[in-house]
Amino acid sequence: MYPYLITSNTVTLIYQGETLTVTSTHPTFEEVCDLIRKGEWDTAATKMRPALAISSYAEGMEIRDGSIYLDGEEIDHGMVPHILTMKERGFDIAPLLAFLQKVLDNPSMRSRNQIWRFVSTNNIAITPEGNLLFYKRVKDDYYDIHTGGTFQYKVGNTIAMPRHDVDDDPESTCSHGLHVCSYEYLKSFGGQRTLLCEVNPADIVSVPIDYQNTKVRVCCLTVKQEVANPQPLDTSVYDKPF
Amino acid sequence: MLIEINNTHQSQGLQKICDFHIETNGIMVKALTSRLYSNPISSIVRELASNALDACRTHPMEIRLPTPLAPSFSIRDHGPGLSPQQMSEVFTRFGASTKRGDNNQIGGFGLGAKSPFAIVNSYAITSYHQGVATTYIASIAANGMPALHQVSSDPNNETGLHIEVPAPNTSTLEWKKALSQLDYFQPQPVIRGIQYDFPTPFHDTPDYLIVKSDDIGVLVGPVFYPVDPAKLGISYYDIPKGMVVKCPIGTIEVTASREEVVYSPATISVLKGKFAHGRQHYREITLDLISKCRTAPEAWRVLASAIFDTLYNFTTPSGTTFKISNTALYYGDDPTYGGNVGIAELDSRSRRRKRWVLNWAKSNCIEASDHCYFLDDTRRWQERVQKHFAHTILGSQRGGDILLFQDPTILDDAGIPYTKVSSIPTDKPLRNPSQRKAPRTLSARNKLTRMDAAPTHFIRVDADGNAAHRDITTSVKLTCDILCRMEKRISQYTSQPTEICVVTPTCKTDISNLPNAFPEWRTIALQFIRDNPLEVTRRWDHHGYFTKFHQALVDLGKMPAFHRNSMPEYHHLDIVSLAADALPPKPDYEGKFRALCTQHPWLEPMESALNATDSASIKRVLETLFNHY
Repeated sequence: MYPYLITSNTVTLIYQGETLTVTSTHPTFEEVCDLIRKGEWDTAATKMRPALAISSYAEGMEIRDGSIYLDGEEIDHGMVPHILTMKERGFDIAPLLAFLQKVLDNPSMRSRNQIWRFVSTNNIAITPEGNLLFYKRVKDDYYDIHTGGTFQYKVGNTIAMPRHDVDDDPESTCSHGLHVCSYEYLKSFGGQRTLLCEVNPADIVSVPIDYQNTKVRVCCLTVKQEVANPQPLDTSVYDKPF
Repeated sequence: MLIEINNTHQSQGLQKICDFHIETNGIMVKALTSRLYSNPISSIVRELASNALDACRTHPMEIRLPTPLAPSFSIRDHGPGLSPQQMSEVFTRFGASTKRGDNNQIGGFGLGAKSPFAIVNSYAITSYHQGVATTYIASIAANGMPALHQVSSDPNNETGLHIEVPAPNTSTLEWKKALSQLDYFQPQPVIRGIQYDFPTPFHDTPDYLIVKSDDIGVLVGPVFYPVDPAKLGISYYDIPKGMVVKCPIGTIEVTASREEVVYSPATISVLKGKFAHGRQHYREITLDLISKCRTAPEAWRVLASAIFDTLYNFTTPSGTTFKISNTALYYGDDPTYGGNVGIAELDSRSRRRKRWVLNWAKSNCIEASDHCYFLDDTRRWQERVQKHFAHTILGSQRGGDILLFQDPTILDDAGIPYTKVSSIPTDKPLRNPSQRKAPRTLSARNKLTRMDAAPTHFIRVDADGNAAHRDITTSVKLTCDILCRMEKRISQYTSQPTEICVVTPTCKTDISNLPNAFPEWRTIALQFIRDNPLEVTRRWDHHGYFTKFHQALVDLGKMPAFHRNSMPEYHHLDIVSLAADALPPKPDYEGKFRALCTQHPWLEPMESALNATDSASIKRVLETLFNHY
């Protein structure tokens, strides 16, 4: 039994001497009120303070003053919903840690910030190694659409170009570099064939600002599979291609 | 904060029926919380942080901004905390404050601690006081009335107050923005949950700060408030950008919500005085720095870093064509790409023009600064630079680049490089439609547009060093037009060929000997003042003293006779200080009176009585005089 107060726009729970409080704009407000009324204190507390929920899951990450740190580097708040989703879906933390580590390995601060912007508006589909999965459209002969004959995207191929040749300006919406995208952007992508590609987050150069951050410019990618009916990719770990 | 209520109230023949009362109900509470603040989040941060600072000025307060991991705003001070009695008597009472008699404390309206009710119906307070940590929840009940509930009470050796306010789903950035009000808190709060860098002022004095901002403001105690210069009756251009004056608590009136300054006559007068003083001081420092510069670019660099660094830096290629969209000035093909300039910087005329070429050459735009100068759109900006520039170089109070010379040897002597524009047509209109296609020699218009800096003023200097200046306000065409008329007028006065020299502030030569460029002029002025001992005041009187002075110069053949309406202003000659040198000193009446007082002590009390107007005092003065004579 813990003291609590529920008002029309706030709920406050004094849980183990700590004051937990959220407003009605919080997505779990109704759920928290129900849990408190039922007396499920622990669940209610973790819902109110995601830090509590994450701390038991995110081993290897440090949670301090409302922020997450990995190896002393701050992880963007945009990752919080993804971490919670991964936990709810019962995934192991290791792929996510690998993903974050690779993001931190990205040599450009500008690129890292753009990745954080990408993760805060998109689902992230990652592999057990922590690489991101994206779609790409190519021509019928598997050559790229833009130049028509520079790179051939055959399944299993790794296509790379020098990082410094890839435009890192997010405001250049179409520019030099290898372009991949999320499901939402596919309809804006010309070409006949759809491929699923794996990208190391450290190879992401920029996330153009158009199309709600659904397009990504990278300097290296590996073609995993040709997809006949592309599906939206959720925030999950995809251990084998579909 | 000292808040005074001293209304005069004298009456006669009135019968008091009752006092007014303030009803305590939910509506009134709403009026004093959620309806009081126009920006509640900013107010909560300011109010709670001000209370925390009032509570403890030795230990920094700790502030945690809401994040997705911990969606509440928390603030913790290390003051003495509040006893249960103080909680019920002050914390929960609207209008109750312990800070009214003291201008060292920020608060005083008795509303700040309740500010979280502006966004939420409940918040938690933990008071660490005298070995006990007591947790309370303040909440608004169904009827709208707030109440305080005690939750727990445990032994604890810490002191202070911890307030935890649940944060609605607003972005952390909105809270971060509110932190700017605490930029000048000492000690600086410790911010958690977000990276926050407190700004470092460029320049910090006991009276004002210069910070990297376009706006001006006032620090009332430690709290920053923006100031609207228009409401003070000051031009925006008269205050260095980013100037923040410091005022003690109590000298500036603020609204009950404490969101802004109240522009009452008293506050306006204090602020005006502070800004005037700050500006003067800052100007002195800048001029002092400039006086130590050996070359014009150095001086320019000082100006650029001292005042104008808060303005706009562009590094665009020379001759870039800019285009204008609805929101930005840009180059290249994409409005979202490239060096954008805010549309507000362009006046309406330029916006209508839709497209123009930035007329400057980077190579000529001295190495001191990569600022680019729009031909006439940032005229005020140039004016300010040139004012300082000309003040230092030519001893003029106002500035200019174009100098009309009968004999440019003054420039040679002074080492100022110049460009000659000698082919200005003197009697033909500049643009004759019938001659539009006819080949012409390089016109002044062409030459002027090729200058590396746009002219905004000109100074005309003749062989004797007589100088006059005028704004060139509108266009190059008008500039040429004015120059033509000037040249014509000079040619009427003298048969000597007149040359127009264009001097731009890009000269790189030594300028240290320039203030002595007009020795003869000064000698004539001094002699004139000695011969005509008129009363010299600080008010310029063109039709009085200066008309005569000018006429004397004309009679001496030292300057051309101008039309009355184009009377030049001799700002660069400080006539008042010249007069102080030239005229004999005024008789020292006060000293004489003091000397008399030592001989006749009875005179001393007479001084004040002499100014009196009432009959009793006058009578007393007369009696004293009778007694002594």
